[in-house]
Amino acid sequence: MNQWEVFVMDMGELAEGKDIETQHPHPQPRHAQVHLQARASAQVSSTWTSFPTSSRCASGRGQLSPAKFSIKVIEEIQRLPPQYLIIGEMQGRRWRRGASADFSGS
Amino acid sequence: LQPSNKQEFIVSKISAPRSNREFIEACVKAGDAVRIKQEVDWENEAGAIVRRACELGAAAPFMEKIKDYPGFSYFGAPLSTYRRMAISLGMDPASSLPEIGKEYLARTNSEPIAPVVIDRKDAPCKENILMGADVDLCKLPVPLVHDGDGGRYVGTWHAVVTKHPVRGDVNWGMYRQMMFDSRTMSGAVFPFSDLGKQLSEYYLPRGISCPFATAIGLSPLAAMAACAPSPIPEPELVGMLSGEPARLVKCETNDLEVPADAEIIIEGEICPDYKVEEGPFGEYTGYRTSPRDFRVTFRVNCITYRNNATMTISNMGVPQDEGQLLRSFSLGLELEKLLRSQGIPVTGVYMHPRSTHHMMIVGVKPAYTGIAQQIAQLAFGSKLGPWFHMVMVVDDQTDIYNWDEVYHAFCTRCHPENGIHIYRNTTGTPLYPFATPHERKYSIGSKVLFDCLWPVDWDKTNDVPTLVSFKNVYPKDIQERVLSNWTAYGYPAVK
Repeated sequence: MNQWEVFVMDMGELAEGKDIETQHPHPQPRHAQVHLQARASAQVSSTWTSFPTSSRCASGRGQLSPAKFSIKVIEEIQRLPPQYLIIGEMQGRRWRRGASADFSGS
Repeated sequence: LQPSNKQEFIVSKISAPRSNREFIEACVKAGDAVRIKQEVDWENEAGAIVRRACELGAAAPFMEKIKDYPGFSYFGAPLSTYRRMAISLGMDPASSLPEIGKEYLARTNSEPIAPVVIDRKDAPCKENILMGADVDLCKLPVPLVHDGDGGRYVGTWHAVVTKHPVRGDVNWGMYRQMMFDSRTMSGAVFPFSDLGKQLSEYYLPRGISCPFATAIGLSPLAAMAACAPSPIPEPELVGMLSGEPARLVKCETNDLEVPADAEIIIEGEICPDYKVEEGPFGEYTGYRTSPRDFRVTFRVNCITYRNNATMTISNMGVPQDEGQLLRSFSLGLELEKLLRSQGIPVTGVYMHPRSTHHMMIVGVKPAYTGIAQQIAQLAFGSKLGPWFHMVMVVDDQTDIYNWDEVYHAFCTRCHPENGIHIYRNTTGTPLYPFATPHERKYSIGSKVLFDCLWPVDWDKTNDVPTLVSFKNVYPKDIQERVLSNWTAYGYPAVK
């Protein structure tokens, strides 16, 4: 079973069985991608076997909750406004802003 | 520290390191940096080495081999000791703090030296250029500085370069930056900071993205300028500190100019309409205070870097690291300049780094009633004010660099009712560990003045108590006799 640490602003966000929006780490990171984050809709459960990934939750200042959760990412959400994802031209030089998939880096 | 005389300052005498690389070499030569040949992990290990070096006051670690990142290196704790600060200014590493302060005041009171913009092809920071789909922060050895941080921190000892589009004011500031994803960083930008004001005054109301460039691996004097709360534009301040024009170069994707000799440049735009989570992070107060929150988003468009680039790391925590040492140093001296400019007869201003730049100690000739309050109001009301909340004013007979004397003055001369003045609802930082969650959210502060001066209306003979010390109560001839016989009495010599 994979293990993640997920930051939440408030432990009250972890509502059982409801869809929540949170940040989740790279699902299968190479070492250099361990701490990358993305926004996603997810479901959590206080029964740590309910979903395939177990999770420790850290709140505001990094305090780890003693409780263990399980989490299922439903889908990644891109909240970055689209203008930051388009091809642009600046100072006569063509360049491309970041592609939509934030985990697409090599 | 006396006011500097511009004529006394001879630029040609300065031989300060011009780049991060020259500085590392100078530190190694002086025994103030160690080369670490074995591989270190960017995830916690490098940070732990830097932290321990800070807590021991040890040599700066130059880590030449980083796991996953061949060709890159780290330089940690660059300015966490006064010895390395002296080296950065081209001074003898053994220089005393008052000597370093005097030099800083002399240089920063000299004429501004404008920077020069060099051709891209001559700029070391352009040796490698990543644009478009190649942009990926994971290609840089971004460290996880402390276990429990909210992410890997790209910017811990760096300068975020921005420019006001109308006034043209250039700002270099150290705003921490966390890698959120491979092309996005988030950071803490306080509303009272220069960048915070630029954003709230111009970019945010118009919904326009703000071009930025983050320069990492700066020359130590460029880092000093980015850290100093000076009213002088940082590129000119670097020139004044180093005695020659700073070398700048144009960015690839915006009109900003960045230090040409920096190790790494990250170009991009600050999004006016999008925030992502940042933090928590180990902070200069020695705590992880500011909780994870939605903060300023830096979207990355281009990365340039030198061959064999060295990333600088500041690991903030309990004293003492450069966040405390350099900030205390520059805040104290900038306040001294401010007070002198207002005609206050100060004898010196000092912030002990262990106060985590929270307490100003001001020495003054107690020339008139209310002078301590005037000092506090000027200090708290200035641009420097949000960064500290305590001002202690002592007389000119107290050595402000000697904590024993300052502590004695505080405990014996500060009247609990008349000498402590509290200022409420002032500007504060969200990083104050003692602040309530509400105060942190809105940067609300409180300030306190400890007035340790004898009241001016006390009769100096009858009302002011006599200080009972070796130097103060014995006749000169007795003092000299005791001093000359000290070792004959059987005591070891005192340096």
